[in-house]
Amino acid sequence: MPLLTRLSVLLAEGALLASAALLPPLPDLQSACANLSLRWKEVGADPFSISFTARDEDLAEALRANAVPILSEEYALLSGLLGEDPASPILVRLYPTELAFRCLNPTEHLSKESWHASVGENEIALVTDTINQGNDEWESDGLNILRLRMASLLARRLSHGSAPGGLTLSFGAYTMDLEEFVRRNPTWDSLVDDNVASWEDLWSDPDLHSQPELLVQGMSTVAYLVDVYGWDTFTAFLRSLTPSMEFHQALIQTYGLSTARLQLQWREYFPYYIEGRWRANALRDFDLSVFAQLIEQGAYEDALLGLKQAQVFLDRTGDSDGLVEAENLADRARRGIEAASLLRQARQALQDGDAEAAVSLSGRAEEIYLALQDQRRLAELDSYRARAAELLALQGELSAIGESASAIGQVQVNRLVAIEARLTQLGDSAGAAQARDLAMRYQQQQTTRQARLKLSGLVLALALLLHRILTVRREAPPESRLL
Amino acid sequence: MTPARLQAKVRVLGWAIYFQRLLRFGLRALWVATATYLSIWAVGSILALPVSTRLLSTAACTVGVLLFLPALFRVPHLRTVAWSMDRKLGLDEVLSSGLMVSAQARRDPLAGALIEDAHASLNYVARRVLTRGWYLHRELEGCLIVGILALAVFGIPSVQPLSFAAPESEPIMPLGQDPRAKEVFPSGLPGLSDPDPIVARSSADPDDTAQAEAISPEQVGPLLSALNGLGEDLSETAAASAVGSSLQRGDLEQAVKDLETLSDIIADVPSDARTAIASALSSAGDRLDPLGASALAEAMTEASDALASREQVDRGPRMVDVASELHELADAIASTLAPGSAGDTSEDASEGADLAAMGMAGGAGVGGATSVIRSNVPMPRLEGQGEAFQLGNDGAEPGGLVAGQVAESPSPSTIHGAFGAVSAGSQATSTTAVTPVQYLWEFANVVRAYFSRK
Repeated sequence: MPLLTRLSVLLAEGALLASAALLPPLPDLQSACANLSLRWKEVGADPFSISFTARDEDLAEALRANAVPILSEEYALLSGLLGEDPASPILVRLYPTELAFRCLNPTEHLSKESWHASVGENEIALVTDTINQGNDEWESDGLNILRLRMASLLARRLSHGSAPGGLTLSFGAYTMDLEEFVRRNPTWDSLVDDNVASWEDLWSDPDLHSQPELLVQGMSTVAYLVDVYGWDTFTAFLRSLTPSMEFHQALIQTYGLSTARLQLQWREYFPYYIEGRWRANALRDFDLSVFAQLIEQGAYEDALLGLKQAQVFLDRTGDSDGLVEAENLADRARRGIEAASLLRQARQALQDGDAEAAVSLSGRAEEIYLALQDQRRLAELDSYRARAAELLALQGELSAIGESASAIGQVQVNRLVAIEARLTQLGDSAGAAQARDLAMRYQQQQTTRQARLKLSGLVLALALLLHRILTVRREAPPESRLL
Repeated sequence: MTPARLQAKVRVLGWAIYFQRLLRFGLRALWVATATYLSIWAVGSILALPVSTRLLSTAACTVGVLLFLPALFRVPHLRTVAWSMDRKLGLDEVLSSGLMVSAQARRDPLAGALIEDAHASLNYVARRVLTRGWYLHRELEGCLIVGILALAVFGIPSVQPLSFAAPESEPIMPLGQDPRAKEVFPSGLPGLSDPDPIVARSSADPDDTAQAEAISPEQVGPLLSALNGLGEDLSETAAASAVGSSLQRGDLEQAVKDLETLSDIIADVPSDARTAIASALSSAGDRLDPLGASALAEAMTEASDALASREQVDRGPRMVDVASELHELADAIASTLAPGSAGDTSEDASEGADLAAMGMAGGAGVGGATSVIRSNVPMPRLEGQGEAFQLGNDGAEPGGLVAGQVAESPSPSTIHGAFGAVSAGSQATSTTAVTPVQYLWEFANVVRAYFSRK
């Protein structure tokens, strides 16, 4: 432990002892404390250290060997996630008796029959005579208790001591490893009860940990806020707590919802949590299935948005498997977004009359959607492609008619009129104008041709008539006038 | 050559001449009929007369038949034919003599010579008739002329003018949108029902919507009055004074927010204040129930019961229920007062926490703070609308109104201000509609509308 840190710890201890000395203890406690003499030893390394008396040396050594490595790692992770300095020391002080705790921490709360507490923002207090007497809770869940206390200390730090005790304990409980906790708690499934406590009651109860059903409700409130609104929002909420802003206002400021409304939502969530949602702990088993389901439902943009932030979180927690999975999901989400973008471009191309591009873009979008097994927008895609294909066919036919101008007839003109109408319907104004021009030109040619033909006939008829007139006086032969 | 054979030959020749004539007249009838058809058609077209095809055909056929029939009935007779050939072909009655002798059955040499001579002439005549007797070229020429004309008129199809229809453009299928996270998981998590009471009710409960829509304009006044009464009652309690004043102002949107805030702190409210709030809610519920706001009345009654009970758990949620129902009622009133429009809607600021919240690292949830639709309820006009009233003017401010009443100054005076000279201090009561004479600022019309009788 660096000298400065050690010094600060010692100063803190000194301050505590001074406060204990300055504040007048209760008369009976005062006399008991007067005879108390403790000689402290300390083991451990940064940031965790254990302070103990001689009689608790074995327990301290056991903690140092077994718990401190785990806790140090988790502390570093948690403090990093909370934006706190991971080098800030945490002291686990083993008080030999409850009396020792009360003498040294007259202002701190230690509930009746309890054997652990948080002192200030840096100390976890354990009362060892209760532990040494064979405490079941310590035996079964000692590490989780240390986690709970460690996280509640961090919550205190984050809120500058303004977070109510129940809230810090709820947060601490959220950081526990619940697999073991649930396994050891046979009544877990029966915790679903209509008469759940209010957030007000849960978060303001400094003895929340002493009633398991309340502790579970408390941890589920944190789980709900983290699960639904995210880790960073929750830490922002903790950070916004100040002496002048109690949690009702902080909730409204952070979440935009009143406590009562959040509580209503949480009431819906609580049975869901008990039924198994507790496994989706952001710290232990980050639930990426939500994003997978979002992608499955086609909400690619939101899924990617969430996954980007989740990747940052997972990176901070060092969850490499989760990162890989998140990256895969993000890739799928990106492909979905790309497909949607291609579809949008296809429509735009169609609007611009670029049918070829529309067909091509639709094809690429379809490839991606089929790869994603997303059928939702295929009908839309088919519609664009069919329209583009029809447009291309009509344009091709128009081009063919234009090239065979010499062999044009009324049939082709009629077809041109039909093509013009259809192209107008399809919004290809340039193509429609081309078809119209072609039809008009060919009709003009036909009109000229027919006019010439009629004129020729008229001239011929006139010539014959003239001949007839000129020969009208010529007599018929007698052979034709015999009857 | 026997006499009978001579007669037969002449008869055959006569029928040949008949056929030639029949053919000639047939062709003539054909082209004249066609010319008739064309002429009538041309006249009809030029004069724009309604000439039917049947009329044209009838006229043409009549002319044709009239021309053709004489030729048809002119059957050749033996002697007539022989005499015509003798005379027109210069045979010096050889054929006539021969035929006469043959008819008399004479057997002398002279008769035999005449018959032989006639026979010889008959061969010569037959050659001439069969070669030159047709004389069809004139008729064919006529047929050709009218044929060409008919072809020009009817044979060559006229070019139809192109008609380009202007079909309506077929719209491209609208661009779809990928669903948003909030649509996929309205609650923020899969498998969790939407917990937002307001959103859930307004979107999923058609009965409530029907109820909200069922409010008639006549109900609005009594409802607002009842809510105003609730506001008065609540204003007497410090904890609920914000709700009370919002209700008294008719600002239901703010009242909903204040109720939600009250629900958060209701556990800390002293019991006597809680009792007062419960009593106010209960009374308001009784007043609102017969006015068609049964849902709000029921929520108020339940909230009142929860406040009066010892159980703290239900108090906050029940107050939120009241807020939700009040929100519904505000919506209904807004839609009633603004028929045909959905009302002014705005999204609550909490929407901002929507997907941003979902994106926060650490939580896998996709939920956000729920959006709440608010509607502004129009403020009622001041009391005394349409009644005669007096305005006071102490002369300290430049007057903008005429015929005012001086509050303190005993004698009338003329005030010169920024808006010109105004008479002030008159004790006379104005009995006419007061009209702002000069408001130079941009809201003059608004003010004028307010002071005008309707």
